[in-house]
Amino acid sequence: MFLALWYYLHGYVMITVSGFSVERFVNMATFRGIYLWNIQPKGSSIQMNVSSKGYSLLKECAEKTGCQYHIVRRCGLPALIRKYKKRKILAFGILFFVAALYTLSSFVWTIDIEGNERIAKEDILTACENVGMSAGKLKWNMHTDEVTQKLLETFPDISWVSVSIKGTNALVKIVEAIPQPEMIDKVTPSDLIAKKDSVIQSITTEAGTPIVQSGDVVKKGALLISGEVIIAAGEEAEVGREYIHARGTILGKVWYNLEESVPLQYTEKMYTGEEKKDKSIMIGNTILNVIQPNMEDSTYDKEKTSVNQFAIGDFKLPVAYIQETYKVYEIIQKQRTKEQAKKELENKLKQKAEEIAEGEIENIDIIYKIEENNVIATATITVMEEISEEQKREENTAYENKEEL
Amino acid sequence: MHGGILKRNVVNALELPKEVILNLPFISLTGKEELIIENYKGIIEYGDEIMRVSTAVGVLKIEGKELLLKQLTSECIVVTGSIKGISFLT
Repeated sequence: MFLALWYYLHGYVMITVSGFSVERFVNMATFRGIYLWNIQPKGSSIQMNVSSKGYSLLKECAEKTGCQYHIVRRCGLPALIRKYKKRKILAFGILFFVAALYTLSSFVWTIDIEGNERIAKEDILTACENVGMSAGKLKWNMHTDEVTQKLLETFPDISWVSVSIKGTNALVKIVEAIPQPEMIDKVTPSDLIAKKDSVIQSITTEAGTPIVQSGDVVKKGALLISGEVIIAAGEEAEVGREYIHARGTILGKVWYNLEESVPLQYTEKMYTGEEKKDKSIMIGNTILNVIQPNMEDSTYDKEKTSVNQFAIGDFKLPVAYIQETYKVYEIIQKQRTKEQAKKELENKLKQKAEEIAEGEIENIDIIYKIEENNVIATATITVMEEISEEQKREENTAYENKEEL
Repeated sequence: MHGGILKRNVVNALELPKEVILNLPFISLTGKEELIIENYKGIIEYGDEIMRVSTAVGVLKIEGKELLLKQLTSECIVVTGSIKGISFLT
């Protein structure tokens, strides 16, 4: 096996030997150290392979034994090279192929990011780009250490980064730090204050002195539960004051005002059903769109129907085939009745109310008004909300309702 | 007998490789498709059905079909093909 490879690389000659005593010729050649192989009879003569080096020594053997030999053909790598030497374009093609392979593989074509959950992929990519790592850049100019350093600097949330370049793929592996649980502070002296104007519905105190009662009207920032506790001995005598962390649940009614309007006359898109397809190829970020449908006279919506990314195995090529559909529409004037408008407004307001309310919605009052072409609705929404908010107690904290104490 | 009796006894007693000390041919046969002869003297006859090789203990006749000399060096011969029989002609 290895011998065959050796002789293939060095070249060998296939010859036929004829004469009275081929055996003697073979013996003589062998004893002179010429390596012969694949000896087989071919009619009256014998065909065999002999190394190029050994071939030059055969002349003497042939003369002594009275045999004749002829070259059938020259084999092996040197003969092959000689044969292809004349084919310049082939050689150029091979060189071009190798060069193209080398240059194309010295770029990074894709960047994959693994392990990010909270941090957006785009943010990481931009951070990578700032240090010079982006798709389509030379591999040699990227320093994985720098990228690692940069990523750790920009995102304090990342606890471990590994950047590796494999072939034309760059892989950024990230481990995000576990978020620290919020500590519930139960020690620092603090008060509970109102975060909204409201009417107190219920108050439950866990710690501290309640200042307000249910039914009280409070303004934003008013003290609800004080962290100040008066320690009393017996009936009246005040012994001392202690400052603790006030805790409790205060539910209050909060009102919101909302306004919405809906025109009686409106326009709507009506798709005519006429569709035109557009096919294009995207290379990197540039779109090659050779043939575009003629849409000059009509209004239309453009919709991407499919994006086919070309890939070789797992490796995504920066080439994609995009199909888009142009949907033609006409603008139609429509009229709605007052009842319809009212219903629509109600739904809209309900949706809005749910968005802004932080608690349970108790009641929605809607007043409709018709003005020219519009129906205007004003809604008052009553919501039951938790209205307390913590505030650290400082020596000089002053409250609006201090006088009421 | 090839080699003196004393030499033979020594080789037997010490279990030395006979093909080296007594200059005997070393023939190994793989199935019936490959025959390796080491320590031969020369080829006497060559054909694709009969092959004769001279060795130190006489002429070795190889019979078979489509015999092919796969390799030929001064130390060994490799014959492939379908071998029917080997016999010594003294």
